[in-house]
Amino acid sequence: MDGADLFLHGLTVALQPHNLGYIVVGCLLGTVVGILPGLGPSAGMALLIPIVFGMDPTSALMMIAAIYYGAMYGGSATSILLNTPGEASSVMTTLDGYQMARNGRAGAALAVSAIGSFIAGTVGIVLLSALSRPLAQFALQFGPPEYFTLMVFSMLSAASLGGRTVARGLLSMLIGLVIATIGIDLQSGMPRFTGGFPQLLDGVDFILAAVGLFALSEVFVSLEDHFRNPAQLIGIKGRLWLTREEWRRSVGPIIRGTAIGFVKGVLPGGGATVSTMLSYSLERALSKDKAKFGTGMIEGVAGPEAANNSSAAGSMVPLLALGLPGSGATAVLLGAFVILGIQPGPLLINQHPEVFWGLVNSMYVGNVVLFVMNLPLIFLFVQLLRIPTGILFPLVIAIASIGVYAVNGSVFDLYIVFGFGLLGYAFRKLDVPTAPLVLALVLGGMMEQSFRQSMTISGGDLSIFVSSGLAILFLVLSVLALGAALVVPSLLKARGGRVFVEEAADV
Amino acid sequence: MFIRNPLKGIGRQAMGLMAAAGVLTAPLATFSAVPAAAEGWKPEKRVEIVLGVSASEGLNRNARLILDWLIKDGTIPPSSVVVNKPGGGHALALTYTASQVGSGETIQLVNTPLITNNLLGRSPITYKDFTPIALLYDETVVFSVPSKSSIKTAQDLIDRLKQDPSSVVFSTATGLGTVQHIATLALAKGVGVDIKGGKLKTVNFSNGNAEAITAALGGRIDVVVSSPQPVLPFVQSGDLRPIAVASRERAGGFLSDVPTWKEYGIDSVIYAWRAIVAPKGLTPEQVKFWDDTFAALVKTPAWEEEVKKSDLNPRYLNSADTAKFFENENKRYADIYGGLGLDVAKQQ
Repeated sequence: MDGADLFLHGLTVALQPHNLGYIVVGCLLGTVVGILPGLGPSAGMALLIPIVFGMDPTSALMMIAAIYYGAMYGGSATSILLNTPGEASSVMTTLDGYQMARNGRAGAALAVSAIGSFIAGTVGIVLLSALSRPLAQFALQFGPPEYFTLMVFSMLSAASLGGRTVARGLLSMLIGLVIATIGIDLQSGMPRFTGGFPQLLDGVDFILAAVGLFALSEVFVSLEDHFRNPAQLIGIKGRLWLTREEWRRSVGPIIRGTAIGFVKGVLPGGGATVSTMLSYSLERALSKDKAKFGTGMIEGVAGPEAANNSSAAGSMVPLLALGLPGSGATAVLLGAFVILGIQPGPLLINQHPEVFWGLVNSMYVGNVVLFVMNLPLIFLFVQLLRIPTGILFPLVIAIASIGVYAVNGSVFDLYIVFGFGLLGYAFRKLDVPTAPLVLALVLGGMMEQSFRQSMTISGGDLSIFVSSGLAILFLVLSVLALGAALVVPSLLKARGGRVFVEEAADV
Repeated sequence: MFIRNPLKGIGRQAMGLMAAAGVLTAPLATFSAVPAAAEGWKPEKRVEIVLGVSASEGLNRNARLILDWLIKDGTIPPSSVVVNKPGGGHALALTYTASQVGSGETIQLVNTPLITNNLLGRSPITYKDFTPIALLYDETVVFSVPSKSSIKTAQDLIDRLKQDPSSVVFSTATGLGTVQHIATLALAKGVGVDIKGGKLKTVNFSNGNAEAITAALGGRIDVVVSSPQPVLPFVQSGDLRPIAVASRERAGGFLSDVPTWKEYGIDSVIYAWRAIVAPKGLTPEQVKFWDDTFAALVKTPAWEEEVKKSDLNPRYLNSADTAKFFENENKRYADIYGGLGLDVAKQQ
């Protein structure tokens, strides 16, 4: 049986009524998981595993995978409407998405998220079905040194993410790096900076920081504004749908976001979140209006939202072709395989073709389902903006708390989120940007581990970081990113760039 | 052609369940004939099987199977659940179980961290904070190399280590003092490498063994030290080659042709075991209930098949013997850590 035959058989498996039912259920659950802050796809899938135990493996995996990519759609809604990242990979969407909503363009932001997600998801799956094997082999080129240099590049391209001054951004990033060292150190196995709290042994989950710093501090600041001068509700200007101009501006970011997301998805580590950072940085770098990023640029929503969806498809490549998960979410999916009695690995395609092709094809079906499901939701979601402050704020706190608590069932996590909320409030009052802290928390731990893994492998010889073409490539890109971050603002300033300074502060 | 066989897994499980029910009801029925045992304790409330890993890990499958089997034969109430409390290498789950003093409805499936967490200074909780119920099985530690590696056999690895220990990069599981790490250190020590001199290269990866295998296939890691299950598909596909096991005697299954380190005169023998513990303060009747339950469970064909399928080594010990076993293991690990230069325990 050749490839096309297998593919079509997979499609018929995915379209069987009961499987279609499971896909729809998975998409719905994924959307909910995506909307609830804190509760991300990894936790959502893990919660479902006990339920699928004993089910037909193909149907079960279709449903669990649907939660994964479904969450990528759902996460944007709360990011845009409430400045609360619904899940990790929607952190970047808050930066411009929420500002778009404040400018009255919530509908457009939601629409471009759904469209970008659909395009990127579909393209990603096409690539997944066509190129699994060669891409998986490419992913094997990524060892600790390549990974470390990629992290350096990600960090430096994110370092330019606004703030009144570079120093403020660096301060925020440094605090993030410090927090990233909390927990059991992977290389030695010893706890660091846990203060005797067993809950801190696994470190501080960055989604806690994101929910606290973005959502809660937003509530605190808005609350203060509300009492000083009762604010008007945010109106919705113009059409809910995209204008012609917004369309034009979104096409490029969606295409580039799809490419970045897929490549990053195939590579191990960091999951979708890193790809959204890279996409956002790229769009900002390419834009003529760099200064306006963080004030509601549709490019800053379209790119990252496309990236996280194609990344979800890309991350299936090493999992399905090699049985090697590259991210937390795919690791849970691998766990689901194991629980269902299927050992994923290089032989999966040959030993269980119905599982492999059924799953891949279910993703096409799922993407269509999600797109259709999300369009009417846009009109529903924007109504949220009509909710009066007195109801909306407690609602944000309640939703954020439920989402965070659901992950580990830990009250301790709620204290951490609240602490980050207060920290975020202080940051805003002091004009220190919060985004670099969250990014450093994502990248810091991985960067440290890959550095130390490299050092052990090379016996302390730094030349390991220039020992492969890929590592050198990332180092060169890092230098370029650093150069751009330092040179571009001063050029802008030279051209009377006070605008940049003021507008970029609101990150 | 596609032959969909959705019931394959379920069928096997169901057969197992029927067998489990048959074998398990037999001893339970015998108790009721004995007056003293008829008044014996039986859980009335829902039972919690606590687990220190997330729902996505291998250990979880064992816990779910145990839960399923015990519910189906009526040993525990149908509302019983597996409670996943991942974090801190079982530390959070152990803290939770230890706090349920006197509860006969809480048991935990745990592995070596029960002993090593405390010795390594990760947790103040020791094995003495629990009632031992049963030792269930242990897992082989296997050394694998990529097929294209110039290391083809255990002897090649020994030779390479003798020649230049820093030319071999090992990957072990998370952190110092894990069974994989100890097995590697013991090998190096046996070969004559100065293990305190920083010559031996052991790298740790998160995400279980997946990242380590990725790095090995990509040529960054020379030897993957792991349990059998993660490497099995790669051995079958010909990407990895198991070269030695750190066992007393040769393992079964796909490892039956793989020599032990002992055959090369190297004293690297260690197993990762899995056990059931309950909180302190249980009544003798409660201990007896769980003791009997697991004694019967490990004799069921379903259990035996699962153990075999997962390349585990059956090794059942009852409650009293498990208590002695923990005591010995605690001493043995403390000695090993001392001997290998991992003197963390003494710093605590």
